[in-house]
Formats: sequence, C-alpha cells, structure tokens
Amino acid sequence: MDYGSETLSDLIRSLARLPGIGTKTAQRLALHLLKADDEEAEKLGNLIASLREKVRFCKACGSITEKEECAICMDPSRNREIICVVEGPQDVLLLEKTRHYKGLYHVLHGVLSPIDGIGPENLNLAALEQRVKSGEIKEVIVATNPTVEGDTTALYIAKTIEPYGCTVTRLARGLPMGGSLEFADDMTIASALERREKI
Amino acid sequence: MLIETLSSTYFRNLASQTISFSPGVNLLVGENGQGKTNVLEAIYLFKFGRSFRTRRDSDMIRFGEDFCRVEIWSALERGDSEQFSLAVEASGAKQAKVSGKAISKFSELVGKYPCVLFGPQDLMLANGPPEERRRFIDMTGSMTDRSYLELLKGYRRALQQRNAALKLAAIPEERSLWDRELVEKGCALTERRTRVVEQIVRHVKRHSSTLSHLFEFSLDYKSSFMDESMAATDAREAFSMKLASMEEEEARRGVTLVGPHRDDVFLLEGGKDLKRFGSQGQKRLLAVLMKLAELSFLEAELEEPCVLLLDDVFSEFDATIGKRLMQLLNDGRQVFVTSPSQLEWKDARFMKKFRVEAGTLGA
Ligand SMILES: [Zn+2]
Repeated sequence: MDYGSETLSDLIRSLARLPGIGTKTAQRLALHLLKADDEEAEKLGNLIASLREKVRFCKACGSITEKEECAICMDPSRNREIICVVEGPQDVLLLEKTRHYKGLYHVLHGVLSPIDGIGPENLNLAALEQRVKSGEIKEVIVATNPTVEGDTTALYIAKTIEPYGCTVTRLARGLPMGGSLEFADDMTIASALERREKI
Repeated sequence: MLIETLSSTYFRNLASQTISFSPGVNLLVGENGQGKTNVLEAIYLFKFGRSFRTRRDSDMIRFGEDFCRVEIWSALERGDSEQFSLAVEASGAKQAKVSGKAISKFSELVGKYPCVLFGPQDLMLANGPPEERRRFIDMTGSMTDRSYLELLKGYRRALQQRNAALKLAAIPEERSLWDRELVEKGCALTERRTRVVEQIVRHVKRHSSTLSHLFEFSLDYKSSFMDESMAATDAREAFSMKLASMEEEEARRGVTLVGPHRDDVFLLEGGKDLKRFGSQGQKRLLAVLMKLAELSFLEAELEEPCVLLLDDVFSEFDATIGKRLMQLLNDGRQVFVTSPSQLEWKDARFMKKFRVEAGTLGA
C-alpha cells in the first residue's frame, strides 16, 4: 500500500514481520508512533538500537543478561549441584516467580525439531554437556514443554548426560493445584492417571 | 440433537433466508446444482468446523462476495438450546461461536454437535484405499472423545518429525531418538482404534440382521506391527522390533514404513476378504452398515440422538433395502435427506418437504 512515505511503509513492513503482528496491527503501531510525542518514539528507537548491542546470553547458562554471566549464575547462594533445563529465557522467569527453585538454569533456545531443520547442534546442548562433565552437577531437571518435541529433547538430554553419573529428572505433569477433577480437561486427567504415584 | 433453524448469508448459492425444520424427516427435493447439498454442507459445518466438500474454507463464499456466514439454532435432548455460528472471510480467516462465545480451537466442538453424514462418497469405505477406513475410525473415535483427537495429532506430529529426521539426521542415534514418541503414541492410537472397531463390529452385526440376513459381515483391525508370528510380549515391543527390522529400508527411503498410518481395517464376509471376493452389492451394503454403526456408536456414547444427513443415497440401493433402511433411520431422530426426485418414505415421522430451486427453499 502507498502511505505517501517510504519510511512509514518500510516501518510497517518491518513491524508486520514480527511474530503475532499482522499488517493491520503494524499499521496501527506505526501511525501511533507518528503521532506520539518525540520522547516516546525516540526512546523506543534507541532501545531497539541498543538491544542487540547490550543484551547478551549468559556464557554459562544461556539466560539473558547484560554482563558476561547472569545474576543467577553469579549468585553464591544458589545450589550449584542442580540444573534446570528450559526451552527459552521466558521459562526462567516463570520458574523464578515461584521462588521455590534454588538451583541453576540452562537455556536451550529451542527444542529438537527436524521439520524445522533443528538438530542438537543448533541448540545450547554442547555447553550443557560441558557443565555436567565438570563434575559439580548431581541432578539435571528437564523442564521442556510436554510436546512431542519437548519430550524427545528431554530423552536426548537423558541419553547424553546419564553416562556422566548425573541424575536426570523430568517435571511431572498432572492436575493443577487446588483444581478439582471437574475443571481439569480430559488430557490432563488422563496424564495424571498415567503418572499416578504411590501414597 | 435437533436443528431448529438455519440461516445463512452469502453461503454458496443459498438465499439469505431463515429456514425452520421438522424434528422428523426433512426432504429436500431439487435438480442438480440447485443447492440441496449446500444445505447439508451448512448443517454439517459445525461437526468439526469444516466442510465435507472442500478443504479451502473460502470456497464456501458465494462468487463475488467477501465473506459468508452460517447460523444454526439447535436443541439438545437435555433441553439446552444453543446457537452455532460460523463466519469465513475471503482471506480464509474463520471464526466460530457457540451461543455467542468464540471458539479458539475447533476441537472444542467435539461432542457438542452430534451429526452423521452419509453420501455417495462413503461407498469408498468398502471400495477405497486403507486411508478411507482409517479416517472413518479416527473421525468416529474423535467425535466422542477429545483425547482421541489429541492423540491422533500427537502421533502425526511424531511421525512428521521422525520422517524429517530420517531424511536429515547425520547419525543413526539422532534418527532413533524419535522412535520413542512414535511407539508410545502409535501403540496408544492402535489400542484406541481397536476399541472403536470392536464397537463398530458389534453395531454392524446388529444392523446386518435387520437389513439383510443373507450375509455375515465383520471387520478386523490390521496393525502393521502386531504380527502373530513375532515373539513380542506387548505392543510397544512389537512396534520397536518391527522398526528395528525396517531400519535399513527406512533410512534409504526416508519415510516411516510401520505404524498406525500404515494400518488397515479388513472387511470380511463369511470370514473371507470382501475386497477380493465380495460383489459390488455386498460392498455397498457393508459401507451402509458401517455408517449405521457410526450413528449407533455416537448415539450410545453421547446418549443423544444424532442428526442424520443423507445425501442422495437411496438411488444406490434396490427398493427393498431402501425401504428397510428408511425404517431403521426413522427411529426417533431428525433426518435431512436430499433427492433429485420425490421420494416415497412410508410412515415418515413429521415429514416436511422442501423444493430447492436456485438456492431458495420453498414448500
Ligand atoms: Zn547464567
């Protein structure tokens, strides 16, 4: 579409390429920025410009940081014998919110998916093996999503890591806390039934 | 379930009118191309949220318009009345609502809209490739249980990933990694299918004795990995053993050659393979019996009469079988039947006749 401005058209096209944003939303965002006060648009522009420059991935765990290592990896109070493996940085935030986990993390940045051409070499897996090899780690908890890909990635991790004598566990899937059977969907109930445990 | 009214806008050639139906037999008579089957298509839409005639939703929009909408008021036996609506835009965007509430996944419709369609294409059940019978079993199973549908999707996903790995993965360990999900989901799916087939067989035998005593039909689920000669102790082991035996060929061809996606349902008459030894008449009859069995299975599982859609099926049968079929089908449920000419339906319950001409339904 001709917006009468090359710059505006380019911005809309760029925004529309972002995940979850269609042409209509991109158009609305661009026009909003055009009308917004100078500060707002400029701030956003600067943030985007410095994003790639300042934000990086922790060299130990792959989580988000602005330093060499992330705050969790540098925290001396964390338990260095346990690693929780997650698919993405957003999962670290979710687990941290619970305030229940005191170990370290390892971010894979994806899951195995041959359909998308993603093999072990495309994920942050070699670094995980290195961490386990160093000997300090006693348990690896795999917290990938319960999908075909997440489960297979968990299997791959178990296969590569168990030879080092480290325990590999998987997050349990079952009924939500405080939720009665009545409100759980049949897939959850079926899974909880299959993974039932002894009282 | 009962369909009380249907209204549509720009849906194929159907005129924008609200049509009230009889709770018994609704007979739609008209020449080809006048819109009889469009009515059935519109009613069927809410079973899975898609058409039985096209994979491209925008095909349902009348030529020259940029959207279409179908709305149905239905009532369940239990007494709740519900409004189903579906809108499709030219871009292919589709939005379904149940009583005003938007549906995010079409699997939410499962079990909410019990209906069975029977048309000339169903004769493929007996004549066509194994795929037709697998789809029949999967659709029947999915209608009563959402976890069946999820399992089916999971199996397909595992299969796609494994096939991609067979083509791409550099080392054998990376390929075999996908075996576990394939075997887990494949065994679960095989078990579910076997259970559905057992029920279908039970209903086929029951209806067979009413429709024609001449034949002894049966169905047998044939797994591609459960081989009697094998020494496996359970399904998982059998599947894994079969995969191991195919390893070389699979690696060479880059596709998974064993699993539920390769299974078939054998059709038998007097213990003999119907596909090889049966006549066209026998095959046609068994296809009808399988559809009747689907109807009975759903009604038993959902404890609700299904809406039955019959797309010009009576011309396929001789008069005697046609009459018996009508008696069977008229048993307390709502029926929509299309026919190119007037149809003699003796003792039809609350028969309402519609003349379909250029998309308009008249008395
Ligand atoms: Zn870190």
